[in-house]
Amino acid sequence: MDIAAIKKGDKKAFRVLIDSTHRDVYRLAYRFTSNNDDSQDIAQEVFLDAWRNIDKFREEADIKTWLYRITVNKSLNLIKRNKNKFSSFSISDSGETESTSFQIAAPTSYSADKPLHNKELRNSLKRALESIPDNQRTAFLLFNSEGLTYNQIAEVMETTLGAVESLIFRAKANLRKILAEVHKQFSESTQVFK
Amino acid sequence: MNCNEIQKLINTQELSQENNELIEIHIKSCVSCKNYYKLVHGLVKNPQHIWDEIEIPQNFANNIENFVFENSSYALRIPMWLKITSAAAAIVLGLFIGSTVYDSRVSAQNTNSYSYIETNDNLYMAETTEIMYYSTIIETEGE
Ligand SMILES: [Zn+2]
Repeated sequence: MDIAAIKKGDKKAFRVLIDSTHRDVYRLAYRFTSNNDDSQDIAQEVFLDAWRNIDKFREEADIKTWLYRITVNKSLNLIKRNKNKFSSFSISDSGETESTSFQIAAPTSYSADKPLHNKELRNSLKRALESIPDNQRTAFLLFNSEGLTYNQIAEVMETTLGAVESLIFRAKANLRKILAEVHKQFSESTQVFK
Repeated sequence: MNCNEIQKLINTQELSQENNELIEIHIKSCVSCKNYYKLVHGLVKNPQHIWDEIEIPQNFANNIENFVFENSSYALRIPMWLKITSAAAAIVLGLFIGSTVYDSRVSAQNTNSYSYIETNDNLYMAETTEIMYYSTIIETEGE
């Protein structure tokens, strides 16, 4: 990747950067938003910002980490803007549930005696992820979806290795708590959820 | 072991081999606990297999490229060295113009004429270039 050329305004060099990283940027945006159009918009904005602000990128750093950081910020900003559309249930940073009434849209048809399929599991996880704090969700997704190391996550999130470990630990604990509650509710009820 | 006991075991962060075996025997014949195990243990510990395949839109790299270059005017893509040079040039020229105005006013006092010099706003373009910072929105907690 010829960052020096991009800094000089070389469009071909920037295209090489787009070619090699746009899938990762799009995928990460999609993990946050679960929406194709939003993810496309975010990815386009990420590269526009990268082009405009490439001067501020330190060449010794990893350009992908930098793009991931912009992607995370843009995704979380968009989610914040669309917040009304999202689940009203959330879990606070301290790990305490802020509401006892779960509004997590769950497996489309879940009953205790029917095996859960991948699609239903995926939807449950997506909804549970929407309910944990942004920083925990970010660390969890960067690790479990993007396969970043804790060191790389620390770089993306501009934090320490210890903080990343703690975020992922708490993300998992909160997700377990939420998913256990989801299971409990569905087991108690034969209602069909949408 | 009943379902409650099994589910309590599943809640354990790190399962011992012995407990793992107890769980596996139980969930072979209990769908509810199997679901619980998938949700609470498998999904959180190892969700890699669960993510949906993401299809990148067709021609997406081209679309991004077009979007970037259509939306970034030249003014927003001035290299840093040029910004610094322009700013320095603007200051020098400003001083020069300032001293010229001063000189012409001094001479106008003698000739009763008045000259007005319009400064060129473009000289200050470099100073108005948008600067964006990606300060992390993610606050580290518990520090
Ligand atoms: Zn059971």
